[in-house]
Amino acid sequence: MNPVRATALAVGIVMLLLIVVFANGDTSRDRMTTHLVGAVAPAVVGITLDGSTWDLDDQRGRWVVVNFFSTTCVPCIREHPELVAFAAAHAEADDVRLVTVAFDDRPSAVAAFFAEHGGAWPVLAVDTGRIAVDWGVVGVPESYLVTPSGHVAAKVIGGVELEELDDLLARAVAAVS
Amino acid sequence: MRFGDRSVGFTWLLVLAVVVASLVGSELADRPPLTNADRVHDLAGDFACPVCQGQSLGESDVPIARTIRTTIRTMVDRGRTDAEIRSMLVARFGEDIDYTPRGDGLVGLVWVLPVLVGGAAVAGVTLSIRRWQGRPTGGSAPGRPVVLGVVAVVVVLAGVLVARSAGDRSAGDTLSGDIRSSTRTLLADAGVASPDEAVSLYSRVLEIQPSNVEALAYRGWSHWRAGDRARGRSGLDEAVAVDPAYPDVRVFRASQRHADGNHAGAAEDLVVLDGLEAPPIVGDLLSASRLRQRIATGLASSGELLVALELLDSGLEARPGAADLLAERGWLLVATRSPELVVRGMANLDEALALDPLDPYGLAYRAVVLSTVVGRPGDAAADLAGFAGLPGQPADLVDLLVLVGLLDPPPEDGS
Amino acid sequence: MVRARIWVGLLAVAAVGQVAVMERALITRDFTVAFVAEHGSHRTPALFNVATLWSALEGSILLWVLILVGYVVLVARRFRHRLDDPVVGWTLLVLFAVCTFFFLLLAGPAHPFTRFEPWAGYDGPGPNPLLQNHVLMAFHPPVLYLGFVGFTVPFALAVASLATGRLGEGWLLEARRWTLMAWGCLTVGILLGAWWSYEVLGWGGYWAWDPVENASFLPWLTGTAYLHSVMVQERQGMLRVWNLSLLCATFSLTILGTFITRSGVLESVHAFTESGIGPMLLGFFGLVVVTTVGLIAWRGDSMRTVGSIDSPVSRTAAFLVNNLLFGAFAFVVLLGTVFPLLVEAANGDRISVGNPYFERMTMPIGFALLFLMAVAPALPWGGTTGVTIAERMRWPAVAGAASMVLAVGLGSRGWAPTLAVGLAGFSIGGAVRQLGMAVRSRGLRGLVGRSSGGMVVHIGVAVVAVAFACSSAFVRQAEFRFDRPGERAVFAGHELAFEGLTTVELPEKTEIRVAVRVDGRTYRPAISTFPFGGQTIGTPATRSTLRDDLQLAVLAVPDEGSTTTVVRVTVQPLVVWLWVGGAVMAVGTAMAAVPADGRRRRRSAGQAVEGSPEGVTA
Repeated sequence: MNPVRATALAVGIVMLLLIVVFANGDTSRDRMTTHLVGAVAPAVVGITLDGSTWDLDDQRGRWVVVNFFSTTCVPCIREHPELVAFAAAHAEADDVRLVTVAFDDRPSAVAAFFAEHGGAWPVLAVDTGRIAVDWGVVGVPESYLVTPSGHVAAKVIGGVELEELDDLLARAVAAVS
Repeated sequence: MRFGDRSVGFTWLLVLAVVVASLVGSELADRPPLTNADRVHDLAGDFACPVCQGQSLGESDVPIARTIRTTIRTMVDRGRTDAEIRSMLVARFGEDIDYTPRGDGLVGLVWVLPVLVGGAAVAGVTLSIRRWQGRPTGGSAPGRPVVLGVVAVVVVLAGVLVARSAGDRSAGDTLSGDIRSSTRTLLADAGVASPDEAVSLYSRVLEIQPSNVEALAYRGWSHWRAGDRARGRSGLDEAVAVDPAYPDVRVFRASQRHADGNHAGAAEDLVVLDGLEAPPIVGDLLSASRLRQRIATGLASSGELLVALELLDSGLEARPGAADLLAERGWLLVATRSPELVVRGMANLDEALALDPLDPYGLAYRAVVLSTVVGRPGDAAADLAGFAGLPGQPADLVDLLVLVGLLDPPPEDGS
Repeated sequence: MVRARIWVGLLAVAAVGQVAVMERALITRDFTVAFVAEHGSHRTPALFNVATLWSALEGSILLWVLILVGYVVLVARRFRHRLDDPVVGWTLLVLFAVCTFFFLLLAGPAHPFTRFEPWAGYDGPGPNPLLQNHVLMAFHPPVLYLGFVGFTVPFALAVASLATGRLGEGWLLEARRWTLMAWGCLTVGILLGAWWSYEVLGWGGYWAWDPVENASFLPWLTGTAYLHSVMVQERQGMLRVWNLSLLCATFSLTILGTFITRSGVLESVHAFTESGIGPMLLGFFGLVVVTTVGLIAWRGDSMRTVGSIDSPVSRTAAFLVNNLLFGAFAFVVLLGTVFPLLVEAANGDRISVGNPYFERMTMPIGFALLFLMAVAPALPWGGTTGVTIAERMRWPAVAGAASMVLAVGLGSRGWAPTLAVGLAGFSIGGAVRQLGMAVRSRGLRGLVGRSSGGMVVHIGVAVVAVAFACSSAFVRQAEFRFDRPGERAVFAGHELAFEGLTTVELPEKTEIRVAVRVDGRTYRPAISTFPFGGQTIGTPATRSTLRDDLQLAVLAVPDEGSTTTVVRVTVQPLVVWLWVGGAVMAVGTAMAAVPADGRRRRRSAGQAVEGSPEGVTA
């Protein structure tokens, strides 16, 4: 085969392979998936809306749902009643605790939102940027389930529902015990 | 002609000298970024914004980008190296936040391929030019194979060098961040590790931070559980000395002292614990192991009833609805056989069962009291029935009831 | 042939008609057209309404078709006396085929004229606020498309040549001329895009090796290679297959680039929203690749000629090396751009390849090109000795060395920018030498014509190279926080004074202007909030001098949380020279398009053409 033909065919094959790769390219990718599941949960420390200090490490022995939230995000607002129901359902057994970390939002707006829509669990709203970076959170809402030993059991991107959360919790508890 | 040649040569020599001098001079004049802000700017340009399409961390103005820039600025101000900052970002956000691809593995191909292809192209061009010149490229003289061989060697070396210089850091470096974050991870992992592994993890924590009370306490406790009593005792005492307000170690030491027979000391620890704010795991551990009740029993049997009652009352103050503690209190009072105390004891038992009708200890104790001390076997039978209906019956209660005669001994072959 | 003219006429009517209809709809804000409803608005200023056409996908395809058909009309007109020549026939056929594809796009996935039912009082959202910010938005896409689309014509000529197996009379000249025009427009289009990014984004960056930017750069690289390599074909009949391949590659890369921009497969700040045209574009790219590879594999060898040279130190060899360097450049850029996709397809990992990679890999190629740019014009075609060339390049070398000393004296740090300045000085010296010799032999008329125009373009490239190297190497940036008017700051040799804020309410946006006095003059960077969608866009202010640029961008304004205004200041040396160099390149291209006096057309190899002062070998 003459060199021209060989080169042309080689280039052609490479280009066709490239086309195949492009054709399978995924155009709907969710960015920056977390590597946290299974790892130790990063620190969550801060001052809650009512002025007390809250630390994830103090909750050892309980399952914790860490929810990242913002008052300007529509799915967050939609999932809020589900979280309220979840907190109420587990209040007596106290087997799982809930904490909200407000992300890039004004504390006054967050406080007003919780005052109006309910939710009596700890809410961290001041200087939460570092927490977001530590958890690799890039968008809200995101929720993480933390085991009693302080490891991340699961991550949910997008709004959660009560059933989904209960199901996740049940499976995680079964997996651990 | 000669003269022209020489002046040309001289000019070129001068040019070469000036070029080299300029290059050397500018390299010497080179300095690292002037300010921390410049360094942050350089770093931010080398990383992608996690949410924006195609913008770097420096260019983007979305909140997460600003937050990450602030984090980078803080780390730069604290003197972290570029490699540490890279590791932190990659660990949090994944490898696609770094605009510089790694130098090893499949990804390293992106550095090596251009060099290889370039080398092949150079070889091709050299051969073409030789052909144009009319030089035979075939078998005569070393010719083609030598050219190809030399080019191949040079190219492979260059590729390796380029790839090496590309990825100077390896992904997955452990964070050498502040003490808290590194000890925190070790402690959390120790919590789910086997006892030997746990001991070594706690020792590592103590190497980083000798005064870490959590590591001291849990290491002491791991020693104790493994059977090394001396180390266990000394470890727990050390932890208490370092931080008397640390809740977890109080539970551990109370358990250790109780096992040693030092009931008073154990009670002391638990009373101190009641005044502290403990994480839920501590409360769970206490109620699951019934440590308080056992210490109280030990105290009562050695004649220290008041101390036992204080212990139980302290627990009740902390947890007013604790039916099991009330039941135990009632039992201890009744066990004195002194009439007023028996009445008070019965009242406690009634209260306990009012709070939790299904508490096995409440049911069993009241059954025993009703039948043997107070003399109301009918009501005792009701409690017994309740007890028998429970799904799980603690073995020590069954033994007690059998001893008293209220229950038949279970069959030998445990059906 | 009459029929060809009829078809061309029909195409022209269709293309112009559809653009006219859409523009009318945009200007009258006819919201019954879905495209206008999605991208037009009563609040958009008049100029931007016209430009809204190419601010979104469907409209941009309309523009593409308009320009493509314009080129077809020009081709038909140019060859109107030779319409029965098979080469011309094949050319028109290929052009019609490409038109067909784009019209198919418009008829199918990119249909611009879908219906919409606006309710009473409906007002559209307007174009993306980032695209309303600057007047360059109106010019950058059309000029860029003039370049992109323009490469279709030389591609059609190349396919015609391969199909007929002939390089007919004047084919070479035609192909080169059309390529030059498209190339010139693409060069200006790319630089306008860089200028626009610089003015709008506020980070002082003008080139980010972003996939869309790379997509426009790749055809430029192969086009430049062609423009040089075709001279060898003209002179000595060599490198024919190279040239045909380069033309095919250039067009293929424009289609690939369009795919990358519009399919969403690679993320970019320039990307249009994803749509269904991705698969069709990819399919068309595949078709083009298969066709051209097939044609070259079939015919290529029979079109080769083997030339000869006396020495490797010759212009012919230099142009071959030039092809190699541009090819390597294009390979690196293409590889870096698509590599994340390849890795993800291979093992699912997601990585990024960005600025650090491209800078490091293209730097040596850039240096080599600058060196070649200096030396090659002085090389004779057949070959010469090293001694001769050393003598010819003596004074340019001195110029290069002097510019390095100047650079170090002015504060250049690090070997790379200094070397870049030196090589650029070397190139400019070489180009000036050529120009000087042309003027000496032919007077002022020696300044026009291909080779002199080319020398001017080389000077422009060298200036751009210096500006690029120095502005990236010596950039400084910092953020300043101001609370009260009157506060001052000093940065990188400039004095800044905060003067206060003003809020301006406009129909389409609310603008907060921050007045900052820099070295005696007040600049007003702003931050604008667009009511629809609540987006905030910054409008930076730039102070340009020949020495450096100082850009101000507003990062934060006082709100309920704080009273601080945060302003980012970027100082970069020599940025203006990027645009000056670009203008010089454009002027040089225009000069090269003017035919030089006394030029004799030669079809055979081996004779001096274009009156080039460098004769054949001694």
